[in-house]
Amino acid sequence: MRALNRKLLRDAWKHRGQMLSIAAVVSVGIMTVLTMRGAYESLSSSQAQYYRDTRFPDVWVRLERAPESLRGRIAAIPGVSAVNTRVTLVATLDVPSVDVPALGYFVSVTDDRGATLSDLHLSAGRFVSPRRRDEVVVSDKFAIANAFVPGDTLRAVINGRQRDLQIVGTAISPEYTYAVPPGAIYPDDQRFGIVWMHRDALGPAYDMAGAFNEVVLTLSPRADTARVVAQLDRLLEPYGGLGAYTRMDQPSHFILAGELNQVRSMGTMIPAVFLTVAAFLLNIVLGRMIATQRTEVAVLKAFGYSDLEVGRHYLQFALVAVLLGALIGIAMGSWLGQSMVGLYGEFFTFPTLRYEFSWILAVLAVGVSALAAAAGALGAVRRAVALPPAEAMRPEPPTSFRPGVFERLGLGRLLPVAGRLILRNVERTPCAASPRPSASAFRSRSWSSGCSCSTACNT
Amino acid sequence: MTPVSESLRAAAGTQRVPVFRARGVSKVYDMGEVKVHALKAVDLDLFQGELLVLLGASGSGKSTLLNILGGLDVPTSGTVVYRDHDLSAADERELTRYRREHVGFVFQFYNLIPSLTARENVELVTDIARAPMPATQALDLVGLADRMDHFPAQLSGGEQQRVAIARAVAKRPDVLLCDEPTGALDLETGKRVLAVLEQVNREVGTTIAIITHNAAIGALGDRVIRMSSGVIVEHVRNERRASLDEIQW
Ligand SMILES: Nc1ncnc2c1ncn2[C@@H]1O[C@H](COP(=O)(O)OP(=O)(O)O)[C@@H](O)[C@H]1O
Ligand SMILES: [Mg+2]
Repeated sequence: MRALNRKLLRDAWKHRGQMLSIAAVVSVGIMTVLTMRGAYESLSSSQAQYYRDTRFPDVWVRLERAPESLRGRIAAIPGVSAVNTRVTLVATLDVPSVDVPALGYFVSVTDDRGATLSDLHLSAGRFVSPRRRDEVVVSDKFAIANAFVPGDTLRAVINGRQRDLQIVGTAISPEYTYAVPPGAIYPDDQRFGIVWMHRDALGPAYDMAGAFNEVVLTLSPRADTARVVAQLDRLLEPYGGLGAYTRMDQPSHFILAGELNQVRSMGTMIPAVFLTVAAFLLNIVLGRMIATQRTEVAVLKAFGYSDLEVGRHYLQFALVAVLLGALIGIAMGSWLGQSMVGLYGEFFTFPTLRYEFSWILAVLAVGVSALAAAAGALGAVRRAVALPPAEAMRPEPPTSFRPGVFERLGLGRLLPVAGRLILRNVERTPCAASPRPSASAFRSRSWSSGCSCSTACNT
Repeated sequence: MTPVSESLRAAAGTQRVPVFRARGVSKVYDMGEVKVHALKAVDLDLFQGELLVLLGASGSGKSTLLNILGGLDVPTSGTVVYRDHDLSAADERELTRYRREHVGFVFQFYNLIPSLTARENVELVTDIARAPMPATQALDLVGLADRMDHFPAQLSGGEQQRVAIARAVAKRPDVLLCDEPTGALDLETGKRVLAVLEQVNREVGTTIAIITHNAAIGALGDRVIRMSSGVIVEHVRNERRASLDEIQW
């Protein structure tokens, strides 16, 4: 190993406290990138995959009632790719575990699952059979909250009539990734569930045989969404249309998208803050180190190390800190990312949700950290590079002091020697002298030499 | 002036080609309100393999002259030519290369890298040298073979200075510039260090310039130059180099 690299390692070890602090700050930055951005990427790719697999609709609209024959006219609207009509209703459910009745949002399903928009993903049991009028599939979280399993009976009051329904399966739907009761903000899995029932059973039970009260549709890639919505509203107006809305107003998607946005921006902002702090710390720590190593810098130069090599040597301290921070940050970040995605899995229901460690993200995070660290170190390193090599020959540079404003006004005599020293230091470096503790720590060196000098002169 | 130019002519009369040719070298430090004339039109030749001793009071310009010869600094006016390198016209990159390839320095305060062992301090220089001797050999030369893995803090001042000499000679420099190498050492230790320098000059043939306060050391050199207020005021050629034992301290 080259002696200069040994010096790097030994000096880094000697300043390990400071190096570790910086590494810790860097690691938090990298960790947050991997946690937040990693969670974001995992969530949004799961979301995209899920939406694609289940044919998540682009537009929804509820209405009073329309005959099934209207479906063709909806499908004929330019830009509409696929149309599903369905029957939906809210009914009270008898749930043994709670005193007040629970709410069930009933949604009709058909056998043609290949053409179904928002197709169900079964987590247990089976799909409803068209021949059995009382079979239902209930939402997964509702089932879990109430300890329902396939085979259990669920009592519901539909359209004023009490019915005993057979739970044959539990499922999740992309429309209820985040399921909130109507008018609520937070999920209430015990008292709100989605109940999927065959259209042939649910329609007649709600006087909707051969009719529908909700339409969902997907759009072709280049469709003009606003026009489709407008045409849909015009078409459905006579049927009590309640106004079509797009994904941005679909409650589950809205919440999920908002959350994703937040995770993404936090995954950028928090690291940015930490990396700025790391850059700032590096500037101070390296500035200090270089100030104490000025004769070493001069020796390196005197023996023919170029400015570039000297600069690179000190920049490498920043890289050591970043590398250390990267190791910790990547380990912590991938671990925390898993926990975070796991946490999201408790609120948002996906068929598969896994934290996927992204090397690209890790490399990017480390790269940006290295750049930030280098930027922070640059000021200090430039000072080392600019140091003239002849300095090595000169033991201590006397800083140039001269009488300041205060003393030139003749007020200096009012102060004792120590006071004048303080004053000159403050006047010489007005910005650095007071607010930065590190800077005044340095100054104390020139103080002591200044003191001994003045005593020497007096005697 | 007269004795100086006379001896210059005398030196030229030996038909030897100088390694260094300094002509009219001045250095002015501009301190804003005051200008310090550290060197005033100095002429100096340095010959292959010779040992030159520079004497003079503190502040007389010895270090400034040595720094300019070593490519650590450039003169304000005048020319300094090292073989075929015009140092006074060189830019920072050329000076760095010149220092790397040709010059070894020994400083008054040793200036070893505290975080490197004796051997590593030497390797710091041999790492970037073209045809260096092994660090171990250089340390052997200064009698520190058994202290190679000690850090500077574990060595005495004299030992540190010997490491510094090993560091300076390991690259087999063409010229060794020593700025008060014994200035921080007691007499006995200083003698030891001078013995090493004298030995390097004799055995390796390195051209050496030594700055010192101690006029007695002048007897060790081939030539002695005395400086005062930025000019060379005395120039003595020794008929014979004294050995360390002959010198009256
Ligand atoms: N970097 C510098 N800035 C300002 N003045 C300097 C500098 N280096 C040397 N001097 C001044 O130049 C003069 C000669 O200094 P120097 O060559 O160090 O003398 P010596 O080595 O003989 O003691 C002194 O007056 C010194 O104060
Ligand atoms: Mg000097």
